[in-house]
Amino acid sequence: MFSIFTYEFMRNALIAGALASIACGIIGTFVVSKRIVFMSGGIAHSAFGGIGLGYFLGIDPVLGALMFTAPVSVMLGMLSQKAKISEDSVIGIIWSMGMALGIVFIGLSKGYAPDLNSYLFGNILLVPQADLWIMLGLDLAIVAIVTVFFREFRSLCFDEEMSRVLGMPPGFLYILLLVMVALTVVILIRVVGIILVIALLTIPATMARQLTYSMPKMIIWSVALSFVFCFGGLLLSYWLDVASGATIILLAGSVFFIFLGIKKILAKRSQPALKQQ
Amino acid sequence: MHEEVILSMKNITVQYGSTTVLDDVSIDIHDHDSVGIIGPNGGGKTTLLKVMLGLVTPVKGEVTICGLPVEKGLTHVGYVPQRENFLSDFPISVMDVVMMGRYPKRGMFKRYTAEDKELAMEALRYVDMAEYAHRQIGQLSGGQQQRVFIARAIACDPEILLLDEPTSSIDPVQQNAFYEMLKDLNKKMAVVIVSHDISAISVNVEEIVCLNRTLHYHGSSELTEEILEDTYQCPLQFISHGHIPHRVLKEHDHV
Repeated sequence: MFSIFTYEFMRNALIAGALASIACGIIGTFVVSKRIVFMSGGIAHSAFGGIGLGYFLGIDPVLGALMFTAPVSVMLGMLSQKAKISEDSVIGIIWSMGMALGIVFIGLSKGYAPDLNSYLFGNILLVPQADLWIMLGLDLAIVAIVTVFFREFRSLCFDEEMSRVLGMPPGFLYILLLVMVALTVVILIRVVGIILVIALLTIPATMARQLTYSMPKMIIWSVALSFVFCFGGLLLSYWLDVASGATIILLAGSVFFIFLGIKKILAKRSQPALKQQ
Repeated sequence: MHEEVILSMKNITVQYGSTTVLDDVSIDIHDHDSVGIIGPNGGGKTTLLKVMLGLVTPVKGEVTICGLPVEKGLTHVGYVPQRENFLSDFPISVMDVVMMGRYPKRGMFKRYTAEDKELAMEALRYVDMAEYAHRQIGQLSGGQQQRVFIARAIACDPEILLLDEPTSSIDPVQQNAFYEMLKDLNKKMAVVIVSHDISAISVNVEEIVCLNRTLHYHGSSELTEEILEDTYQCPLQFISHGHIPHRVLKEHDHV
């Protein structure tokens, strides 16, 4: 069964899945806890502008996405804090403008964009070696930042006003968190694509939250679940010969709903037992 | 009688857009004061509290805590918010919540020490919640959560304790024990309570601040009908101090 991993592209796919899981497990935990799923969706979709920019400049579109989404997430964070417009309106505007910019950039580029689909929907089987190094670098940055500021980020998610009273800089931390969401989106683009990023940011972390009451453990569970979904999705897509990104998401979503069902059944079973006592 | 000014507010004016919420309010709070801040809804109680905490910057006036500007002085402040905005399944333990209270003493990049843990545990023992240290915060009742938040506020050994509507999350039976705890804490620190519950406050603090955009009264908690009418601009429950506090509801012109 594992003989398929003698192929280099399969080994790369496995490494890509592992690197993606580290980022989306850690950042997904904060995205779910701070309730910025929609915000993260906005950042993810605006990354399309960066992909287009990459094509236009003739550089690796993943690098283009990195150059584009990091400043956009800073702008989003500042707009949602300072401007007197509701946050979801700002997200809606940035979301669609980012995608529109991408389309214009690609239109202006010479030739055509052959692997555009793989950026939109991901293709874990086609991750080039160079992108693996970018992913590793971004993972290291995320792990370092979260290790240094873990207390501050947890406090920010718990009660933003209280963090300010305690002397933390919540405005700065919030923008830093959005920048890390942007980095995570860049890491995930090759694996599941821009459109499906949000599923890997939310499903593992939401399940992990049901499994533990400690945030460090929630991060570990999220990373582990993400890896199981990436690995399982990769194998399934190989055997069934369907798109890998979509398979990973559908596997994660199905497991999530089965998990919810089991939880409900277990809860019902334990209730009569309590009544007897 | 009083020696040291812990928190000083001079000529504080706060505006939200074109609305003046606080107009030229000056209050000094001394060590071992116990002060209740009352006033009608929208009268600026919460805003005043936010000014004390540096969350709202006044357009005019100056706030100092222990002689320091607000941001630096906040290390001497323990704050108990009215209701935390967390979801009940937030993944954090009671102990980790109380440890947050030690953050101002350490600051960024500095790890908590064994001493921090011991002081946090001591604060939990004081509020009688030590046995819940490793529980998830959302599993506790409203009253228990509030005791944890008091533990967090006193974990940094503050000079002044600020409480926002503290009785809103506890049932009446627990209120006496709660005010007893505040009286005990008051031996070590100034206590400031923002509340709409005039009758409960006036029997449990020594000084009352009546706030309705401007400062209407600051003095002994022996409130008179005139002071309350002046603050609330209509007749209302009159509180009289005795062995048993009682209320007389007066005729209300406005209804």
